[in-house]
Amino acid sequence: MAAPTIVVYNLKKSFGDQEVLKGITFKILPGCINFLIGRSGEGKSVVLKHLTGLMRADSGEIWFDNLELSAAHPRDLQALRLQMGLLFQDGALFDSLSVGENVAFPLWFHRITTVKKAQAKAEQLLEELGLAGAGPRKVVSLSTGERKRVALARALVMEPAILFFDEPTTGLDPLLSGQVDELIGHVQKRSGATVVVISHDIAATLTLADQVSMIYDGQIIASAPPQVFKVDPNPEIQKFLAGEPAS
Amino acid sequence: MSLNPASKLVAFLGKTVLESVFHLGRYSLLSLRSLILAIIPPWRLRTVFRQMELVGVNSLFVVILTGIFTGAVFTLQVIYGFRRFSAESMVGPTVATAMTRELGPVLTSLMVTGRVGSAMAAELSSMKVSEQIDALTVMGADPVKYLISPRILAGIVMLPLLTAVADAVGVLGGYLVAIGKGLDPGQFASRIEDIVVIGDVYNGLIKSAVFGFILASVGCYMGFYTRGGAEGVGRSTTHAVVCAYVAILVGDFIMTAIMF
Repeated sequence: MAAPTIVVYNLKKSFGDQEVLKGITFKILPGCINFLIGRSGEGKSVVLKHLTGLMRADSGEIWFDNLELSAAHPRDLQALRLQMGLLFQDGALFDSLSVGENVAFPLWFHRITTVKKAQAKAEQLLEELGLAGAGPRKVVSLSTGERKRVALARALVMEPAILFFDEPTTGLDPLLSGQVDELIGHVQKRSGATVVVISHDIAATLTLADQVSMIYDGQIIASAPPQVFKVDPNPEIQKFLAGEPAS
Repeated sequence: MSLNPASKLVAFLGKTVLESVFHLGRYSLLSLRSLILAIIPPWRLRTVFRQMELVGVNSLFVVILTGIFTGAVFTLQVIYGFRRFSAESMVGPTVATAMTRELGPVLTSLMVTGRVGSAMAAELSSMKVSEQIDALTVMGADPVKYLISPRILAGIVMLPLLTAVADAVGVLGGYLVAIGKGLDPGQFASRIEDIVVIGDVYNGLIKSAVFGFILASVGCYMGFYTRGGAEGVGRSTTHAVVCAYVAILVGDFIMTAIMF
């Protein structure tokens, strides 16, 4: 499947009295690295949960090419999910499975290949990500950086057309953060996938992104290439880039 | 505007009723969906067998202990009472009837709820708070089919088997105590054959299958809808055990009224 164009239109979501998304509208460019940035608590992860179908919007639309998520038939939604990979903030690895079983899980679960071939592919991916021989290890024995890489391997194992990263460098030291950023760039170049990164890491955003969208007060206040984004006159953007508190 | 105590009470009762109806509805839908998904292919037998091992094989020791001591202590009490009326010959049938109809199914279910129902709630709730259930969904794996259906199936299949073991060792425990108390062993056993009917055993096993469904479905429900981090995990586990205990005891009363 070619990387789809994703369009989010007028997305609204409230939790009780708190209106988190107040009509989010933006476009995710296919085959590019798209960053969605914003301060903590602005609803970036909520947008991501809507994009991956984990949350239902109060109103609004999310289009993957010609497929609207809220109206999609479960079969189409399932087909779309097989084209998605998501790296959760804390990895969300299955504690009951070994590292290799975690990575191979989507392959054997959907019976795409034999267990043996799935394990071989998992080992190959782990090797590429610097975790050769880690297959039999227990998830609890992994360091934070290793967990991220295993989770990335699991997200990549189905060769997805769309890859989502939820704050991939949160909790990592600068060295590991740099490595993960490098991996994101490398993976996108190799696969040609559409990559969506939720982040508040300004340096990574300006280095890696093909397109940057910023969420503020429940709305997208800018969506542009990084070189245009960083000179945007919007005071909230400039304050964010300068690391100053919001007004 | 502040409410007077009567209004506060009505508001509290109304909120409680609404919440109870909401949870009951959501629990029923989740249980029904789990059962339907359990019979729709593809079947993941390895996962079901793994759960059967956790629910059944790993609970065997505690169930044997419970059964044997329940039968033994019940026999002690019955001997004490029946001796007053020179009715020692009825000790065997009384113990066997009580074990097969009530004590076997109910105590086995309560023990397994404490051991397995709580573990199901804890495991699923910790998966929920660490986003593992979301990860399953994003990977296109239905978490209800993958996590809940095998557990409920395992509960329904393994509880009758465990209950059969508890019934047998309970009667054995009673038999040993009866002999120790000087009762005629032959009379203990032969009167069981005369009085206890196979329907007592079947109905007890049917009850235990229902209890197996209750303990697994309640444990899974509490775990699956956990909210609020580590505190939520603890709360779900406690609620799972308490709610399953109550549901089993209420269910036992209703089924006993219908069956016997």
